[in-house]
Amino acid sequence: MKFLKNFGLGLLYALLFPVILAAVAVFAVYGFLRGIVYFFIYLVRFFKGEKIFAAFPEDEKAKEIIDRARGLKKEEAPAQQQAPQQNIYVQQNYYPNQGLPPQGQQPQQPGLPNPGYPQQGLPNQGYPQQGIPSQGYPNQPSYGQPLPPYGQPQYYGGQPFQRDQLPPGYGEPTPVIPQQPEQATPQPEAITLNREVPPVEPAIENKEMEGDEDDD
Amino acid sequence: MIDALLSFFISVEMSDNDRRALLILVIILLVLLFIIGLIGMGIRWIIMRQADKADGLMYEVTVAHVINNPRDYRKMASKKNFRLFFQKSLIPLGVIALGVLIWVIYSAIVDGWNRNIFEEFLDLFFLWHYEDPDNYVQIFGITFLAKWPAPFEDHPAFHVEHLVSYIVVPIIVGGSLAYLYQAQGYMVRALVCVKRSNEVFRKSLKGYNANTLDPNSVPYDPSLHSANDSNKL
Repeated sequence: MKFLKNFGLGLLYALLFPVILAAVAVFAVYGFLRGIVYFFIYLVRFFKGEKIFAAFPEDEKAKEIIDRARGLKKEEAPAQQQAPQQNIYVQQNYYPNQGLPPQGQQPQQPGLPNPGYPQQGLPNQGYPQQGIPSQGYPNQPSYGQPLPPYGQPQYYGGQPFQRDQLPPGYGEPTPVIPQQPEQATPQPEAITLNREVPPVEPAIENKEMEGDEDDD
Repeated sequence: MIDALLSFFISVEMSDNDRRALLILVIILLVLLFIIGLIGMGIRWIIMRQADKADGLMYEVTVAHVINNPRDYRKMASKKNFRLFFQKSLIPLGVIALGVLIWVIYSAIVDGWNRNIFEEFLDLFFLWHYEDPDNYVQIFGITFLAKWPAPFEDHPAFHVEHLVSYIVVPIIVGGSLAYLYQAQGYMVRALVCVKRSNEVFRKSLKGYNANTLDPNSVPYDPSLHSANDSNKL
């Protein structure tokens, strides 16, 4: 069917071929004359040292817009991947009078927010996580201040602790707490719809078989 | 009128030879029709190919919304279309120019400005003797070519003195055909661009009904449904 349609259109085009040929001849002459004019324009461009077939400004603009759109898509993907790889520097600070844990308790885990010492007036500058709002990392020194060596906590402001002021158990290996087996969470009851289920009637064949059994 | 036509066909008495001739004529006409249809399909295929190129020319500037109205679209399309035509027609025009240059140099050397190179080129082909009245026959008062191929007026022959014509004429004819092909592409692309300029920026309400609610935008509210409906869920 499609072939017949194309064949019919082909016959039409064949019949119109003389008209098409005349139109093509007109366009050929017009194109030739316009080509002569443009030939000299391009010749002047060539001798000026410009590009003969320079891209149109509209094309450059369109290309820029499309490249920008594609570039944004490329930037979004690595940004999402790099987010968890950022380094976070956390300083362990202990104060003798406030916030000390009771005897026998582990010191505060680094990285947890200390609500007693809110980070006030400390701008977050120069860290890799620039642009990400600081969340719960207290006493973070400002950019340019050297970080204390690992294992030597210090006061806020840089004064180091004395060894005897450290809480007991500090620096010792953290005891490994055996993991409790997970308790089975109670499953929620199945939600049933208020639907009246009609009683299942046995098939006729079964009835007959039952009847046969009774007969036996 | 119909009675007259019927009486004419009924009254025509044909011999067996006439019937055979008529049958062969019908078959030849059908074959010719088939060949013409295939040629037309080829022409249409070439035209459609050029039409697809027109869309490729204006795709980026349209998608990026650099052009936002039909007038600018036509202007830009005309510029780009002509540039493509100019680039594509450089080779055919160059080939034609080469052929003409060869002919000019040869004519200047041998002083053969009055020679018809196209007539000389026809030495390589058969020439039919169409003027002989014996080659035609009258059927139902209509003149038909009876002998085909008719007796040849001239057989192909190679003349060394016409060698330049044998070289120059194919170059010029080939270049001209290639240039016409590019001109056809230029014409088709121009027509398609004019058509697209009206289509691309058209705001159509065809198939749109302002009173139709989109069922996906209406949130489901179970209280509005009866218990029977919920049972069906």
